[in-house]
Amino acid sequence: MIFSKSKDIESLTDEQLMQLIAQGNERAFEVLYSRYSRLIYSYFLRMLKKDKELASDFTQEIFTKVYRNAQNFDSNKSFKTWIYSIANNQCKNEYAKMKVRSEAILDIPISTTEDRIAQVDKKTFHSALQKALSELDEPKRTVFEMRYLLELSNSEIAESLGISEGTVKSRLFYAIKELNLQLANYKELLTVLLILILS
Amino acid sequence: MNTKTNPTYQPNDIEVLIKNKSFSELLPDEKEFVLQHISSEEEFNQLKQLWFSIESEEMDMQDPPKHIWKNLRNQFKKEKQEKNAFTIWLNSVRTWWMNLNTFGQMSLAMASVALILSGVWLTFQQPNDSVLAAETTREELKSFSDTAQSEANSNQNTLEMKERPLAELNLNEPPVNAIIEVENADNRHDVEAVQDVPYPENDGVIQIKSESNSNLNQAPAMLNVTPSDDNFIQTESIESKTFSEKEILLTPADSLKKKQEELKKKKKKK
Repeated sequence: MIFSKSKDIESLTDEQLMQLIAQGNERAFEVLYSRYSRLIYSYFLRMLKKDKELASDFTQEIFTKVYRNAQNFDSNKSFKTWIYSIANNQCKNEYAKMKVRSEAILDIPISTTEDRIAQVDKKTFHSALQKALSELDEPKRTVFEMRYLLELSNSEIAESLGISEGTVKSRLFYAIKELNLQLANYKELLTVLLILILS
Repeated sequence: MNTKTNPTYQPNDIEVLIKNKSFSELLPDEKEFVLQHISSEEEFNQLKQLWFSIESEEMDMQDPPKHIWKNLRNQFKKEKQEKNAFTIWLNSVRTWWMNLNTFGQMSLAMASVALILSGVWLTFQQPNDSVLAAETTREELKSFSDTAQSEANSNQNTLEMKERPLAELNLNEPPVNAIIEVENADNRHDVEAVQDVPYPENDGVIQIKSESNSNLNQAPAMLNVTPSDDNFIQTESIESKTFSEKEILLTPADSLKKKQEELKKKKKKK
C-alpha cells in the first residue's frame, strides 16, 4: 500500500500510520505527533503538577518510543490505548521516584462587581476542582484524567491500565464521591463570596 | 409463585443511575443499591450536579513547546539514516553477489564456509591444546615427584625429621641455606633463614618444623621455601595452617631439569 499524497496519510488510522513509521515515513510520524502531542503534553502537565520541563521531556520520550517501537507494534491493537498506557507508566515511575505531589494553590479571585459573579463562580470552581483533584490518590486520578481530559471511554481506560472495565467505573465513582467531599468547602466559600459580592 | 426477579446492580453501574434518574425516580431495589454507596438523597443530588459540572468543565489543554517536534524530527532522521546506511551496504553486497557467475558464487560460498569453520576450529582448538598440555605436564611432574620420593626413601637419604626440629638435622651432606617465608592471614611475612639444611644427595623429602610454631600455625598461611643457591627447586607448595607437620619435597635442580628435558623429548616424539 503506497500513500504518496499528504492527504492520504492524514486520513489513515493511527495503526496504519504506525506501519508507515516502521518503514521510516517521516510524514506519518508528523501526523501522529500532531494528533496526540497536545493531549499527551496536557495529560503530563496535569499529572505532573504543571511541571512544564518534565512534561516536555516526557512528551519527547514517549514519541521517541513510538517510532522506535513502530516495527514491533501490533497493528491489531489500539494505538490510543497503547500510547496512554505508556504515558501512565511514565507517570507512575515518576511518582515512585519523587514520591512528592506538589500542592496546587487555590487562588480565588475576588471581584466586587455583580456582573462577574458567573465568571468568579466558574474560576473558583475550576481552581477548587484542581485542588481537589490533586488530593485524589493516583489510581483514581489517573482514571479521572483519562476520562475527562483524554476523553477515553471506560473500555479504553481499562485496556490502557490493564484493569477491568468494572474497576474503571468503580474508581471513577469513588473519585467523584471524594471530589464532592473536597468541594463541600468550596460551596461554603462560594456562598460567602456571593454574599460579599452582593452586599 | 413470585416469578419476578430483582435486577442486580454492580457498584460500577451507579454512574448510570445518578446521571439518568432523579432520586425519586429510582425503583425500590435501585434506591436500596444506591443507598449502599451514598448516604442520602442530598448527596445523590450533589453527585449528580458535580458530575454534570465536571463534564461541562473545559479541561486545560496546552500545546507542547515547538522544540520537542524539532528534536524528535532530527532524532528520527538521524536514526533513519543510520538504518539506511546498513541497508545500503547489505544491498551493495547483494548486488555484487548477484553479478557473480554460478561458479564464482559457489566458490565464494565454499570459501566463506571454510573460513568460518576454520575460525571456529581455531578458536576452540587452541585453548584445549594448552589445557591438555598443562594437565599432562602436571601429571608427569607428579609422577616424577612420586618416583623421586620413593627413591629417596629407598636410599636412606630421606630426611626423616618427623617430630624433629631443623636444627637437629645431622646428615653428612653439604649444608644448603634456605629461606622459609610464611605469609600469615594478616599478610605479615615471617621470614626465617634456616641454615644448615642438609642437601640430599638424591631427591629428598624434608619436613620443616619451625621453632616458632605459634607464628606458623596461623591460618590461612602460605609457606614458601626458596633455596638460596638454586640447588633446590620446590616442587610442591604447601598451604595449610598446620604445615609444620607437612612434608615438602625438595629436588635437586639439575635432576629436575634433566627429567623435564626428557619429558619434552617424549612429547615431541609423540
